[in-house]
Amino acid sequence: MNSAFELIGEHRLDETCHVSFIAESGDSNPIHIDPDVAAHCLTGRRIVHGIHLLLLALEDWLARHEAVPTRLQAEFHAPVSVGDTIVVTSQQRTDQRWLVRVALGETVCVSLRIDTAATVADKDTEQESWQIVTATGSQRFPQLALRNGQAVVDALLACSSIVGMHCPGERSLFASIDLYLENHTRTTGTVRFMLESVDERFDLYRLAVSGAVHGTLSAFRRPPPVAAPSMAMAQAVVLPEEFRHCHAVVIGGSRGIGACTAKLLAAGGADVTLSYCQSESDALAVYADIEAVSEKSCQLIQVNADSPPTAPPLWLADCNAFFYFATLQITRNTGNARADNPYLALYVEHFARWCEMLEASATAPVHVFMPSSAFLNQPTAGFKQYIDAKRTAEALASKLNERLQLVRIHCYRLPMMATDQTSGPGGRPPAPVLESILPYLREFCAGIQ
Amino acid sequence: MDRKIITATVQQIFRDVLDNESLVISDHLTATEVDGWDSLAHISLLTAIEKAFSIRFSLSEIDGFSCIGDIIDCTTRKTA
Repeated sequence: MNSAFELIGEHRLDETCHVSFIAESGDSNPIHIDPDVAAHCLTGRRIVHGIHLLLLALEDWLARHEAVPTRLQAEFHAPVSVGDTIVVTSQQRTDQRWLVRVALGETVCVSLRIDTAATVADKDTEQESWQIVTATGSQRFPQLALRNGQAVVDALLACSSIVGMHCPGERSLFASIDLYLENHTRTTGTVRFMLESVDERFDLYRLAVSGAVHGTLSAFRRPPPVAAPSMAMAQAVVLPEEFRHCHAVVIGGSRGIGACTAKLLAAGGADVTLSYCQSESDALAVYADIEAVSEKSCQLIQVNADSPPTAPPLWLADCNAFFYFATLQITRNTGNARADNPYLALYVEHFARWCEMLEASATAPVHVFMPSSAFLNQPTAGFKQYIDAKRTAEALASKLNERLQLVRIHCYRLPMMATDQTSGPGGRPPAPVLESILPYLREFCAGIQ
Repeated sequence: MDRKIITATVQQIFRDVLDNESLVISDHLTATEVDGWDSLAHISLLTAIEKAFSIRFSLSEIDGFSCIGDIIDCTTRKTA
């Protein structure tokens, strides 16, 4: 009896409600509160708690239905960042089951199945290995408190704390829940939990919980942040003078492929100016590592690639090798609309402005390294907007190469490499950046005298 | 177990996990062609299939899965 999905709610996850949830749940995992930690994970921004999304969606559903939920099954597909706006839709599946979706744009972030006729399984057995967690509690979910009891609200909050603060803890990532809800049978939201199993193939933790809600929680333990290769590692793979002709500017040189490129160039004898936008501490670390061992000059500048300088700055004066690694967090989404493509401005519009400025200021040839993507060779579902933007950037580069006199753009369809953006639980990790990017740098720099 | 029965069950698991009721699977379908079939969903799919058929894939078997047909073939062998 699947009906159409009905819009039942819309919420902007602003700072106020995010901070409230942290206090209410006790889940102050760094990925929720620390911008520097979050910068290296998932969306690159602090993420909203999965249970917070679930509770908001459940409140929307409860506001439209009189039934009492007895079982919640949820899968957390994609993260939502603080400041994002989510849309909640609902579809009735059977007389007593509904599917509720939390979506960000066209990307479904949470799928929540609500059952109103499930028999509550009795798992409240006594075992010594239970640990106890109590959330502060929240008055922000009155529909659920009215229908199932405040203890159920507080128990769900405690589930967030269990995963985020206890097990797997710091590097956790909620995967799914399957919880039976009690109905005004308890006065406290205290929840006991114990680790049932760890699937070491995937670092997937399965926890049993018992209290006003009981059932299972599943969570991944994320791999640690990808460590940037050191200058010593860069020096081990390049010849001391092989990039000596390069006066390089690396836009987006504080992290990931850009940081590695800056170190490889410096290790090969190039003088390097590296830019950062927000990650000052990361940029300073890259700069210090280069400065400690490089005999050539190194500069660190803050520049927003969204806003190329209107007049050529001094640090571009001698540049003959310009690397454009400015990027957004590349996330899977199902968007198609060109007008809403978030990548086009940075990869096409602003890149063109940088090239025009280089042309205007150059007195000698300037080579531009434009990273494209191997995704263009094998389009992957969920990355259409990213692929469209890269394809458009390649076409733009071709046109600019016909028109510009001194600027020569080189496009490289780079393979996926091991960076914070590509790091996550499950799947085979991509190849290290150091070995992957070096052949492209050598090919690019071979043409520079 | 009969491969057709396995395929039908696997299809329902894909629909549930990927939240796509209209998804129709075929042996040659790969992750790059299906919205939402990313590395996390892949784990959810495999663990759901393992649970449904009371089997366990080894890491080498998982590494060898390049399309849905590979998963169904392996499941068929393990339930024979």
